[in-house]
Amino acid sequence: MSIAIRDGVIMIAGHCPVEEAEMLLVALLENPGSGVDLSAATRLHMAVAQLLAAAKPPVVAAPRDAFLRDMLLPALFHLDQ
Amino acid sequence: MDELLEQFLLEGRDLIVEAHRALDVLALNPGDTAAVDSLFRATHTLKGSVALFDMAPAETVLHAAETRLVGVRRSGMSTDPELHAALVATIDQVDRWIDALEAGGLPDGAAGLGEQLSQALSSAEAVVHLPKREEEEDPAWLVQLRARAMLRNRLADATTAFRYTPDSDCFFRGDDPLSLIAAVPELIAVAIVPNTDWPSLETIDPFRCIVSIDGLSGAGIEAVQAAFRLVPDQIVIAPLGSSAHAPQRLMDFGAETTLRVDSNSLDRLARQAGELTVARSGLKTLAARADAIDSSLAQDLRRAEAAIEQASSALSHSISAIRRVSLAPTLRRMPRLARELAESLGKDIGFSLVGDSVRADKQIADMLFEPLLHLLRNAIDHGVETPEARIAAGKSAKAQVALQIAIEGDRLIATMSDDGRGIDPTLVRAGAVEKALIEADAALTLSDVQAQRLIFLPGFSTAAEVSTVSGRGVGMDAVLRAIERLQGTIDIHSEPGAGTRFHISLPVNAITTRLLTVVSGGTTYGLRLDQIVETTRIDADAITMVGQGQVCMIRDRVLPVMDLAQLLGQPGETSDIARLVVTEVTGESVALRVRALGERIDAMVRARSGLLASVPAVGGTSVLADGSVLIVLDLPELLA
Amino acid sequence: MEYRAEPPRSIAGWSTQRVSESHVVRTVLIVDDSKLARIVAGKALAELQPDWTKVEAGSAAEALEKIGQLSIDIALVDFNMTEKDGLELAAELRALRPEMPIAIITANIQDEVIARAREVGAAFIAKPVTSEGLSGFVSGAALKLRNTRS
Repeated sequence: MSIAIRDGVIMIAGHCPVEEAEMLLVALLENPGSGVDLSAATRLHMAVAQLLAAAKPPVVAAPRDAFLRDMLLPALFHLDQ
Repeated sequence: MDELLEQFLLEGRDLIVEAHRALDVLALNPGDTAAVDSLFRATHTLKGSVALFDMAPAETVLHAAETRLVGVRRSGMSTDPELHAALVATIDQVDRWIDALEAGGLPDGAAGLGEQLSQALSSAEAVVHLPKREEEEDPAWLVQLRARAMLRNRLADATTAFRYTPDSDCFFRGDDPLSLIAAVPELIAVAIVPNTDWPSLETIDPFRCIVSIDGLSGAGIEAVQAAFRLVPDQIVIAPLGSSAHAPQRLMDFGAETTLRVDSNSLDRLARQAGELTVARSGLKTLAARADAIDSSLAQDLRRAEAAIEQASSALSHSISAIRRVSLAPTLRRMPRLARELAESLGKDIGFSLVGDSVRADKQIADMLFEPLLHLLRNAIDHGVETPEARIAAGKSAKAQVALQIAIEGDRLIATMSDDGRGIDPTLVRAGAVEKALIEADAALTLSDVQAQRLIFLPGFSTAAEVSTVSGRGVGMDAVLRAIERLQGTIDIHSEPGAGTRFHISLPVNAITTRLLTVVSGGTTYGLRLDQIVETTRIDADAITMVGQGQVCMIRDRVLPVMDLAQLLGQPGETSDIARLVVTEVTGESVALRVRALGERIDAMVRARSGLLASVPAVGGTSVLADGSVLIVLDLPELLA
Repeated sequence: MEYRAEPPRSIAGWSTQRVSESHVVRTVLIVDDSKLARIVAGKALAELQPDWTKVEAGSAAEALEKIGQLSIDIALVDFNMTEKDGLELAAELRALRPEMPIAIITANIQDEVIARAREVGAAFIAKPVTSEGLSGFVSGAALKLRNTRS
């Protein structure tokens, strides 16, 4: 139960295994322009992360997890791509 | 001091340490490419730094060393003993020149020495062939990686770069590339890049991996390889050896996250925190006085006092943590000094230093060098035999001397060991008797371990056998005194014929206590300042007898007066002026009469031990700068 | 207000079935010459996919026999078996079933073993098998089977 939409924001929480990529993709397609809240995310599968990198939705709340916040988040949204 | 010079002295010496570390590795494994890289980096950076100062000879020798190292890296050859020795001599000499620069400038003849060293460097052979490096130039992926916005500013911190290109159906195999990345040791930064352009969301297949991950790690290449060993076909890893691309460290202030603080400011901060503790105790007094007027106000005051106490103890902890520094700068000269000593004494030794990056209170770090150096001298001079004597005794010609530093709980443990001749208790007993340090029959009653400790007696080692090396008129008693000043202990474990180990235990945090020294009955004592409300002088006539006791008036209050000397079983004071110390540690105010009030000092107080443990009024002891022992009184116990 | 993202309807031609619902029953072949080890692996699998069917084989020969008789979707193969090592078996299974998800179960992984496993496209699962260690492989395998059949 780690991908949900609340008040127009895509909430990504807990451990998101590979299967959740599909749900995130649908959420991103159905809610174009909506932000993502990663504050409760603890682990993202690469499949989930690469979708965020491809869509680059606005991040409403950064993850609290140190690796996700300090390593992954900057890597997903930087401009080397 | 010039800020640039100050920075150079710090960083230059760090680089010397780095170079020596690499040289130590190369001594054991001449083909270690990571060590060659590290040595090259240190040499290259040093060369750039010395050029900023009047140190042309240093630049010359470092250039020669760098040139040789480039050759070693290119050809994939290793450093042979001759080249290794020349490199060690070069780094040692640059180290001395840095010391000289700090003292004012390079000595005359530095240029000539530089020429000689450069000669030695260029003529030394590097002969052992190693597997050739695969690429001379950076491969394309590494060039791209170096240019990434996410990574290029972090290259200077990184040791290893990697590119992980998971195959597109790796998700189906159960791989999660991101969890592998999260497991890379000392990860510094990553960039996630699409293998082709990002597809639109409408066409993306969420279960195909379409990205590569470029990353930097501060760990060595082997450690990074280990993290990716399950995907060897999808990973490329390279050491970031050459510093040609790395920004100059010396000028790179922008990236620095640490703040260098003048140590005097830090000492001042610590002292002020101590004063806060003392000032806080005044609130206790106020609360006691308020009790008589308004007990709820008194309660509030006590609560406020407790809150301040908590905050001030947190402050003290933070200061202790800030004061903890790496021992590396203190110990960095040790390997060089060990080599020089061994050479001058005709001894063949291998010196190893372990744990020099351990952190301890600045005061401990500052004061540790002298006693350790003395122990090192002692080990090389007296502990270790000549190569001939060692061979005769059936040992290897090369002796081993090791200094090991470790943290155990809140103690810093330093162990200096050698595999030399050991300390013969019989010889020590005889020596001590001969020097009239101990009676012959008393010597015989000592156990072997106690007898070995006789070497710590003043006068034991300052006699005939003192050589120019261990000499300087200081004996092992100086070592003991220095360790005791730091509230530490030193033990000897020695086996005649097999070697000696000195085991030093010190507090990691220097916990200083503010003391007021007072003289009473001819002896100086320390009183804890936080147990003192005030000090004052009154006419001795103003002290009157009431019943069995004496009282006086201070600020409209009647206080009982007790003579400290009498409390300690000595005759009381008789002077016309009575010097009083007012304390409230027992819940009521008491004026203690002393002969003289001394100074306020910060001292490390050691809990009472040994003989003093049985004396109730003694709270502990402190060893003063002159080596004398100050007895710190425990006022609550004394007045109870 | 909170609602779950709806399952995909039809995007770019791939399946509209939700993987996480996993109601498709799969059959997993567990190959290990230790009965105990097969039980451990079976339990870990049952924690993740209680509905899936398990088929056990105590040797490489038995495994090859079962794969000929039954409809096997996934294989978990112990590396360290007496007659024939798990990688040889994995290579034979791969030849028979090019798309089948295969995992090698092993306690210590040498580089040479890794290289051989990569060649046959097998995943690694640490021994003893736990549901945690198995979950990545099982998720990936479920996705792959769904995608190849749809």
